[in-house]
Amino acid sequence: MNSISKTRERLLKRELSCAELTEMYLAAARRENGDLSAYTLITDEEARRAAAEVDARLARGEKLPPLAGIPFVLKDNISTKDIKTTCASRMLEDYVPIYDAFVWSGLKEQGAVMCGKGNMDEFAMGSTCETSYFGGAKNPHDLTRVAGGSSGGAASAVAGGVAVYGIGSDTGGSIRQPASFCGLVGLKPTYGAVSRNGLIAYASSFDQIGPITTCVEDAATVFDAICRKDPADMTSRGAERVSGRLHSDVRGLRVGVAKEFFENLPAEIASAMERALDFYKRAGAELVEIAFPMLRYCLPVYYILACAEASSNLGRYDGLRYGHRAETFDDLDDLICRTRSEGFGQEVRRRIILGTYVLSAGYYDAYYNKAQALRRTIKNRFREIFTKCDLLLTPTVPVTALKCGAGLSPVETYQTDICTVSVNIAGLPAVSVPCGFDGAGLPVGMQLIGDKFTEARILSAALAFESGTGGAYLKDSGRGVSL
Amino acid sequence: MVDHEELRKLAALAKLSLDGVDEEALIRDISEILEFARTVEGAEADPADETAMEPWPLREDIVAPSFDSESVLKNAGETRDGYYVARKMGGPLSEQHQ
Repeated sequence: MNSISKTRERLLKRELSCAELTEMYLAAARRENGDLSAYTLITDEEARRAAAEVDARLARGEKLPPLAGIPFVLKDNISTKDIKTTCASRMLEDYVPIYDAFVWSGLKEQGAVMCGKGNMDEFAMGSTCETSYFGGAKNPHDLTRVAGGSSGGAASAVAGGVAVYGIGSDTGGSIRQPASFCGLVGLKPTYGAVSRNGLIAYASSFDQIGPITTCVEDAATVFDAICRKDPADMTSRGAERVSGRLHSDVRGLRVGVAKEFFENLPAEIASAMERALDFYKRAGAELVEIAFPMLRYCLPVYYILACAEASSNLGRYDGLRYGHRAETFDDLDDLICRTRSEGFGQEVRRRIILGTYVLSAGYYDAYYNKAQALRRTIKNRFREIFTKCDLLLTPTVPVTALKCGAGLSPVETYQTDICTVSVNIAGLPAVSVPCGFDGAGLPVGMQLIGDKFTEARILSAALAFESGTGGAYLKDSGRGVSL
Repeated sequence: MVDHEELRKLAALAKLSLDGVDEEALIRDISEILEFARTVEGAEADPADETAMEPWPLREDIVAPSFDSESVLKNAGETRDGYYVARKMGGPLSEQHQ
């Protein structure tokens, strides 16, 4: 695994050209993708175009932005003009956007080298990447395990050494959970810090784009590159840059510990959390006991609201304007129904039906309105929590990477999101950082949750742990490019 | 919690066909999820405080060039004379016109 700073250093010292670097990553991506299924599409042409441009800028002696020339993977629900954007769905298998997402457009301007589109759960609905129409991304540390979801392809590509960093999206944990499963750093920014313009919507009031990286410093670098205010997204506010403000001093930092997040943890994850808490205590932080009884309502609130929003957002797929279109049908209604049933996979159809149920007359108040009221209440509780502590430390996921085809029921799968969804409900920032291994050597991640727009604080605390433990929890998969 | 009749009603509202779908399995899954979602019933919520709502800033409404129709129609399954082609609602196919 290579970091952005290490890769950039090689480029700036002219030890290798951007074209050479890009060819190394493209070749590795082709070689590894049969095992990893990390990419839905490898974008050779775009990568080579960007690399040539960066080499020309280097030759002219121009000062390069931090991400110029660095090969990366972009999740396949982020629109790329003239390049397929499939959401890992049959519905959008041949869809070619006519505009760039704001985030991609900004990265392109900086000279970022996109090696391909990252595999994902279909329309970002899933926690294992296995709902992908193209087959799920595998965990580079153990190919019999999932990479996690929904941004599983981005995590698999970065941990598999076929991208230096990844851009994912997080609606209920979709950046942090695969980062945890693959031993990476995953940052879900504050809602509104990064523009959603061009991100194909799942649940608009929860969705947020963010980085998946090999280290904390890289997460800060990528966050700074994408957290710009965008007038085309009314919820976008941008955010202050964090890179220059990171530090490793946690003395006096109040680390909140809510016991509800630690219930029923497997012993190996529980002891990894204990070690992490002990690290902060020894480094001079103050551990503060916090009560968060609302945690038991977070999963149902999330699934009610996210499915409701999904059923509305995905109403646009009718076979007329874009996407899959059924070949045989009787009338317009039949065309739309057949198109949607053929184009959407099982989990997407299930969530649309659930969303339709909770929004339908007779159930709207009991489910949707009640969940909205509880969302407000959960936000209030977090507001109170952050008067008592500076951040919360929790496990990222109560399990390590699941076996492929584990055959969990939908509710069993949803329950693995217990530690991550509350962050999206309240629109908070959170980062997942590697903090241990289970008995099989699979990574364990911890999550640091902050108040809105405190990315610098949670990343500093993450950096303190990463540097203070001497990178003991970073694990190279031995795959891909090694510089 | 959901029976066949309700499932068909929901599928119709969601514009999804149930042809070839294992309805029993879908009913089982949906019912299990709804049972789990019902946890919210007993929860106590804070009273609404409208003044706490965050206003989202609106941008100025300025007329600007948009996409040309040729690009927009590029992803459509069927187009004619710069328009999307749909089908007449209802009635047998033989009576429909584009």
